[in-house]
Amino acid sequence: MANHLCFDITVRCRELLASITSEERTKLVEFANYRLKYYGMREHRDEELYQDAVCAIIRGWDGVDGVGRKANDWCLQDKAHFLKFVQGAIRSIANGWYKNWRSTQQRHHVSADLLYEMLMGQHKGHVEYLDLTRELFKRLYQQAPSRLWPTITAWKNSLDLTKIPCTTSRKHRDAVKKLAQKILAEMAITRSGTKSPAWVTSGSQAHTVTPEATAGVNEPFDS
Amino acid sequence: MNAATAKLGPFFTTSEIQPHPGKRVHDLGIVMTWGKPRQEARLYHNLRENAPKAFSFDFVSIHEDDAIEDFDYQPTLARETRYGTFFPLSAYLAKLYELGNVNRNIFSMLAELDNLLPKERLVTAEDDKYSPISSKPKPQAPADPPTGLLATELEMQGFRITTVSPENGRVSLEIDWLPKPGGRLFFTGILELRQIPAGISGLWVFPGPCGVNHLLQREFQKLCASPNACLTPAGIKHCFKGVSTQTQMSARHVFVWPTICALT
Repeated sequence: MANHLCFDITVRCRELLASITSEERTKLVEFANYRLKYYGMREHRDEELYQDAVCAIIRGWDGVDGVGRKANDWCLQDKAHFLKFVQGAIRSIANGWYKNWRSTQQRHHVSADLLYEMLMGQHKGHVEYLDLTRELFKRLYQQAPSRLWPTITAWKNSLDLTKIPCTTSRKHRDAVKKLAQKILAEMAITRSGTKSPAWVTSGSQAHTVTPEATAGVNEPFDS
Repeated sequence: MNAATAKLGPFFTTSEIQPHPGKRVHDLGIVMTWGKPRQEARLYHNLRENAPKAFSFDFVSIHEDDAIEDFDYQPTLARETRYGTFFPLSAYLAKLYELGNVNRNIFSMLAELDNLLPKERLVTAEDDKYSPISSKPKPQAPADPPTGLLATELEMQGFRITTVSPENGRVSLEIDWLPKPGGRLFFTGILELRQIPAGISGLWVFPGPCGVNHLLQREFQKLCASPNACLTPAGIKHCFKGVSTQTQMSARHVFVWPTICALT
């Protein structure tokens, strides 16, 4: 029964979306422009905002909880109500663009860059890995003030050693990271050449790029 | 170490394109370097789901491991992948300048970035694959906005008015910074002005997205003493065409630039 209802809503939603005329579409884009201006954002993103709203409505058809904008009976009564529904989606997304500020401070861990690079390539059971971690934590306990010990202990006991957990405070976590980097440098394990991100494998092909060549990198992907 | 040299940068150079970290995050083959000892970060393009062909400076990103400072960003401009989060570059640049970790002229830095990045392409009606109607594509904004509207010193520095929206006795101006003729427009802010008998009062409409636009707004305010002085007589005539002069001033409007408050 629920599937039938969902199917009905999808069909009705699709019909109403297909019935939007050029004039109505222009008005909706103008509405998007107005919302952007209201929030002090670039007005040229009005088309993008409108399309994001349509995408959200289409995602809502799938009926997956928490994804997209879900239409209800009120929205699907007639076209006027449906246009209001689209306007609501635009308003909501513009509000989200403006208000949902987030800080990287809210992330509860930081990656220890040097350790990350070294450990990713090695198996956890490998003797070099075990030696490296044993020596690192031994020196950390020796050199760190006692206030950092809870963070070091939590890090040592964590399953993913490439991330330092935040147990007491961010300040302590960052201090542990700095100290670990210093110790690793002392152990003569330094970066060689330019740092490569984790997704770059040693055998991958890289090529030199010019500013002109970068113009083609944003080709549509296969989705 | 000399304190000034410790803050050199940021500089941008092309490098080898590395494999893309994901379908929706592409490596741009550009590396940003700053400071002494040298810090570096690779630049990526965070592709939009509904318009992968579009390119905007707002969607240029850096990887979380390259960001050494905590900073505020817009989550809609960030992308989470299995390799970590990619944060908007603009917000990170603003933070680096705010902390004083870099000391390069903001205009030189953005001009260099403009040269290296792919050409700007906004989302247009052509990208709308969901709309069944064959609506006419919206005409694009002219490549070079008109000149002679802003005060001479502002226009010499590259500031331009790109959009004028009159409404209820006031006018909203979109101010952008143009590094060179035909270059990309870096968003500075929306300036709301009202013409009153004593002159022109105005303010920036909200702080807008956190990013380099805050730095550009600061530079704009340095060059122009007050909202009253930012338009030329021709600019006033052009912008306030058809707008009635209001005797009552909005409480928010001021004669001097307001302090831009940080978002909390």
